[in-house]
Amino acid sequence: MLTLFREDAAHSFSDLWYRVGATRPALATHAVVTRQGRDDRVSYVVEDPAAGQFYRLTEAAYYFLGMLDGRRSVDDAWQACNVQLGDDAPTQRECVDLLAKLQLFGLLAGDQPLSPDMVERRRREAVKKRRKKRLGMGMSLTIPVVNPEPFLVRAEYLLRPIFSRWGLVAYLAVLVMGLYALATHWRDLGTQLNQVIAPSNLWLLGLVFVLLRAWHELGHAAAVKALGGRCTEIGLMLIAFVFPFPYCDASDSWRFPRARDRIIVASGGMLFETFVAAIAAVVWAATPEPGPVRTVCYSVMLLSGLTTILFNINPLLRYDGYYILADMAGIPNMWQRSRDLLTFLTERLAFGVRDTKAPPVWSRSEFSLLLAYGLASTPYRLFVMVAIVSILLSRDEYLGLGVLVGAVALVMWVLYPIGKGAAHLILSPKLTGRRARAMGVTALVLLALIVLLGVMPAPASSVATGTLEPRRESPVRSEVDGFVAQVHARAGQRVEAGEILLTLANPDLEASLRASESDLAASEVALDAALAISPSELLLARTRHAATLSQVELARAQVAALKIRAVIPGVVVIPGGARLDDALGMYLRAGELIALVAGVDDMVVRASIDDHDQPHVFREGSPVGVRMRLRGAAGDEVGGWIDRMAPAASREIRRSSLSTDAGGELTPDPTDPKRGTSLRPLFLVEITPEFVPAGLQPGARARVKFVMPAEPLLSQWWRRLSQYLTERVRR
Amino acid sequence: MPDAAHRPSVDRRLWSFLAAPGERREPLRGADVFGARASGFAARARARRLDPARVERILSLGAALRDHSAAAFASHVEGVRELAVLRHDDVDAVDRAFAAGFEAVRRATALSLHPVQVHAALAMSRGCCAELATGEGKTITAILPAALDAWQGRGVHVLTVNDYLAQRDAETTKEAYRLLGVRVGVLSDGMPPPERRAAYNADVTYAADKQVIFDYLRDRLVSPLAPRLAGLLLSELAPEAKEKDRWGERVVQRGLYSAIVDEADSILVDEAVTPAIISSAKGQAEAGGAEHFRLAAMLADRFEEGRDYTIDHVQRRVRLTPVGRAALATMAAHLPAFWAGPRRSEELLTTAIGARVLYMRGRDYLVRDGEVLIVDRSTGRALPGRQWQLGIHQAVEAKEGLPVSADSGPVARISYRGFIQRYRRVSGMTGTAAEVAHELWEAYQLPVVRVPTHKPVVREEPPDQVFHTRQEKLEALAVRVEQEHARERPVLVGAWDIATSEQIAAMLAARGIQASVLNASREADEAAIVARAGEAGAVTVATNMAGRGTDIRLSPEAREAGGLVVLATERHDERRVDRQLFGRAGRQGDPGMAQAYVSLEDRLIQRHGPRVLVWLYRLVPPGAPSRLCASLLWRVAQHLASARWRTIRAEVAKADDWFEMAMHNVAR
Repeated sequence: MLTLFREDAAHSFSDLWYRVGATRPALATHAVVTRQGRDDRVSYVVEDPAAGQFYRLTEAAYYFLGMLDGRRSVDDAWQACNVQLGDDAPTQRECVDLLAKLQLFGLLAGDQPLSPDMVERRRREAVKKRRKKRLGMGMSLTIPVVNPEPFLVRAEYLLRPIFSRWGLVAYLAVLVMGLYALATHWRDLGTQLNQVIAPSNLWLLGLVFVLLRAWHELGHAAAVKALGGRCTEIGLMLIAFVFPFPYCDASDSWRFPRARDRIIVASGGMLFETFVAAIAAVVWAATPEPGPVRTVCYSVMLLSGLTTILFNINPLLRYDGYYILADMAGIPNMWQRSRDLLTFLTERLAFGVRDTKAPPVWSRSEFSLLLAYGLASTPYRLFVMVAIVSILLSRDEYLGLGVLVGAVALVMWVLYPIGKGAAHLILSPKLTGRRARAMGVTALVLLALIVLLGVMPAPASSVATGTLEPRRESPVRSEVDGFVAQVHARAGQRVEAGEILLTLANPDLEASLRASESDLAASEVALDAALAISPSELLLARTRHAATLSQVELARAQVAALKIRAVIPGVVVIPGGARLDDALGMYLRAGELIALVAGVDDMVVRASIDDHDQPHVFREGSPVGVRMRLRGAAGDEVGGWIDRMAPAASREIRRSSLSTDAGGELTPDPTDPKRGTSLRPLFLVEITPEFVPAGLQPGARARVKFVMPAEPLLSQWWRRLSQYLTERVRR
Repeated sequence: MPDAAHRPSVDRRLWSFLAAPGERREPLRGADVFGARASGFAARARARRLDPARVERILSLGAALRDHSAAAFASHVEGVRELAVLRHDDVDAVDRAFAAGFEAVRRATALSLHPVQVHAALAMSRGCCAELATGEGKTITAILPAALDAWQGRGVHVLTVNDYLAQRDAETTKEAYRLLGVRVGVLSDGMPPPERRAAYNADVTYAADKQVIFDYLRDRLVSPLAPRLAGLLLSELAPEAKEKDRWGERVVQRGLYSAIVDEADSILVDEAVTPAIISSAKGQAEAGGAEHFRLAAMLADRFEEGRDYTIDHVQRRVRLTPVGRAALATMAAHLPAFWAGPRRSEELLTTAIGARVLYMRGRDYLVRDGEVLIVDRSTGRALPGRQWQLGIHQAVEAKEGLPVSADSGPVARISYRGFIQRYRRVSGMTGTAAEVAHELWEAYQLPVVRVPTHKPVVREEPPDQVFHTRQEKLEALAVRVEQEHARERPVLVGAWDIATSEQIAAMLAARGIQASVLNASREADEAAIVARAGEAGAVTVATNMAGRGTDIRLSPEAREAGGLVVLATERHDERRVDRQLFGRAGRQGDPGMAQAYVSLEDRLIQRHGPRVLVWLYRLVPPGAPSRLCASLLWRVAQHLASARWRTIRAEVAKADDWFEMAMHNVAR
């Protein structure tokens, strides 16, 4: 055992010893003892099969217990332990505790039979304990639904092969197939997401979720059975009294001697779940056309993936992953022990309390693991809680529930621990003589926290999404009708002002040009002739000549207009994304838009900033700076400055690439079938970037960060909260 | 039908004893504790209500009995008694019984019970703890509920803190009980078993708590392991077990039915977790540690403070230095194997050293007739027959140069709390219960009922006099005593420990004042000293012994001079103890005054005073300006000290309950 700190005192003797010293008890025959752990840290689990209770013993305690055979007295056993184990022998006090506890569990058989009222009391207590567990600390309600044991017994011959080596091979094969299916249809994954999580689909999702969870729990039950245990309860746990969550009582696995078996039971649920998810992936990939099968498969994959990653495999919450980790590390009861360790370290190191007993830690690595786990798990749980509450609060239909859950969480996770800590600081006898130091340290930590959160300015920013766009775009239109005879430029090609983009052919125009040119020649001849005839004739001929001349000029201009040129330098952009070549042979009417020439030398970013953030960014002091990250450009962020902002909000999603449908960040209004309306009002902001990284095309997505003057975190949080509240009130 | 030869050998008086299996309440855990607290709060609020109309009725019924002749009164009592026995919970029957009790008290003592006393009696008969202000006459109040329960014929134990008080109270009340047809028994130390049995067989038994509890333990040692009805019937059915049957004739008690606890806070709370232990040589073999404790006590001599160990006075703990550890390790080589490891040997040694340096003669114990007697923390009385546990007693004996006693191992043990919980009915009375109302409820389901005083209290309680050092304080106190003495007012100086009381007496003697000293080492003169303490010009220096139950009657001149002046030399850990001491002055509307002299060197402040406050007080010149300022530090320290004691009691009680529950079929 690792000695953390030297202990100041043991309690070798107990004044209660006379009560047990002369008795000659022995461990009851029905008690099941299992040895667990590795060579250096063995512990023993005593199980009372009747009440389903477990009691963990240290090696020294087990040594002592082993000596009690019903013939030797407790006192003799203790003396013998002292001789053989020396300082490690259990103290009298520990022995009395141990015996009393075993007696309480009905695990001691002695010279006297177990009294019947004791047995009755124990049964009552077990029932009470179970009932209390059902109510689960006020946050959830558990309702046992079914006893799977008869079914499991019948199915045992099927279950054993599942949890065998060949079962593992089959599982891995299916898993690989599923992953392959996912990998090959990677693109489709994103596009279907919105369709599946649409509110109309919520019931289906809920149903799939509950069924999947039930299947998951069945996995645990099956694993318990396959490895030789029993599972007698599968039920429904109502988390926060609302969300149904199937559960399975797999506690029988605690007595499995091999850690590997316990790990298999703990991961049984996930194995079952991912197995189904893999099959769903294969089916999903094989059904390309939309339909119920595809939707269901997608839901299965989505939900099992999410719950597995967020909850089950994550050891920081006390679900499957926690038990797997605890068994792999060989640290049973890890959560409680990490807390004990943290409490102890705080009291010893920070408060200087010397008389606390160090919790047993077996090795340096166990110490680090417990410490790390203790430090990480509480913040993570808080984070999950805050996330759940804020998601609930953001949805109108769950508002009441969110408030309820939030209030309960606030009391249980924040106020109660604070109150308890304060009471401990003020009243705990442990701190006598160290109280001033304890309070000082606590005050310092609080002060540091207040300074950190409330005084130290932290960088603040608001984020909006936008696109890179040319400041100016000149439309390319034909001024005359005509067939496209020749295409000189491609979409995306860089052109100079005056460069010919298209050549149209219009034989009529050319014919009329020719006709009017011959008219002109005729009128010139007529003019020469009229010079000799008479002044009045001359005037007439001159007029006619001028008229034909202008006709010719017009026709010439029209013919010249058949060559369509770029007006400004820039890049050719075709609306709708078509290629310019496709236009060959097409008939264009005058005024029809053929393409755009975008002024790429002078580009801006147009971003849509959420109505939420708009007042903060633009009314309470303008942003210190704008930083942008442009999709498609390597390297650092680009600076910029704000040119102008739309005076009013609109809900138009200006480019479909910005909507979540296409992987952007604007949520479209689900009621709009065209999906071109945003759920939230947006303000358009135009920003001139410092420079545009080479190679960027207009239309590139940009993430724009409005950097605000630094501000303490507390006031930032407060602002968000008050924004949220005012919005709630407004609605 | 069994014939005469098979007549049960156990007489009828034992049936209730056997039938009550002493079921223990299960200790509560987790949220249940809060639930019990909430429901308890509601239940207490209901029980606390006073009912003036009912008291009026009792008083008028009592007044109507005034003119009855002795014989007529006796026959009236007989009628009331039958009614009360039949209808124990009937309001009317109880009212009539109380009226008869009221009249009996008047006839026997020539005192009329005040309405407030009847209030208290009613509360007690409801199973509450009555808080009557000090000096309101608790002794005669208890007659009413005691007689009511006594009529049931199952025995009522009126428990008080010592034999002297039990004797005195029994004498005071005997006549009234006689008029009510109730026989009274008294227990005292050294009574032989037949007399004890007779005392227990009386309807009402006055006794010190320790008498009853040790009789209970001795009876349990005599009786079979599980004195249940089933066990008794079995032994009746198996005649060959004749030898064992005799136990029925050897026990002295006849079961625990009703207890009326005087000084309830002292017995029910302060003593709650004190174990009463019967030890014998037979138990020694089982104890195991005796030999090691003796060794440790002797070894402790060789270690020196500073070099080998350091003392943490705040935590009351001794720690070995590396030098001391090394010394111990070398010594351990020549000691029994048990001493081989550092963990055990250090524990034994530090306990022994701690007993030497932390327990002080004249404060924690005194030596009389070659024996170490423990002095009670809150009553200031010596506790003969009581020993510290786990080697401490041996170490103290070694320090005093007395022969080190073998630690006789326990053979039977019960905590006061566990014992009181075995009664079917418990009620209590005391002058100071408000501070422990919570604990009384949690441990015994006793609601505390505060009864107002009969006459308004005119006792002055000026703010504490604050000093920096103990010496300054004692000198100022002596000057004050001199002043009051000159005015012919009787003065009672309350000291915390024996040594201080002697020191003050010496200081007063130097000023020419002859003070009577009342402390645990001079217990014999108690009655005489108390009797003189109320005379004009009397100066008495006492430990907390002069707290509970001490009735200092003022002489007319003394009342003229302004009544008794109580000067406390320190504030006690528990505010209740201060209130008890202060309550000696201004009893029943008498004039009087009480004031505490405190210093920053007091034990209370040293151990429980927040450092920051102490430091601030050091800046203030002595002679504090206001009541708040004078009391703030002491209030805070008392609060912390009480909380500390409360936590310790709760922890011990919890462990005790838990163990008892687990072991309750392993007997004793």
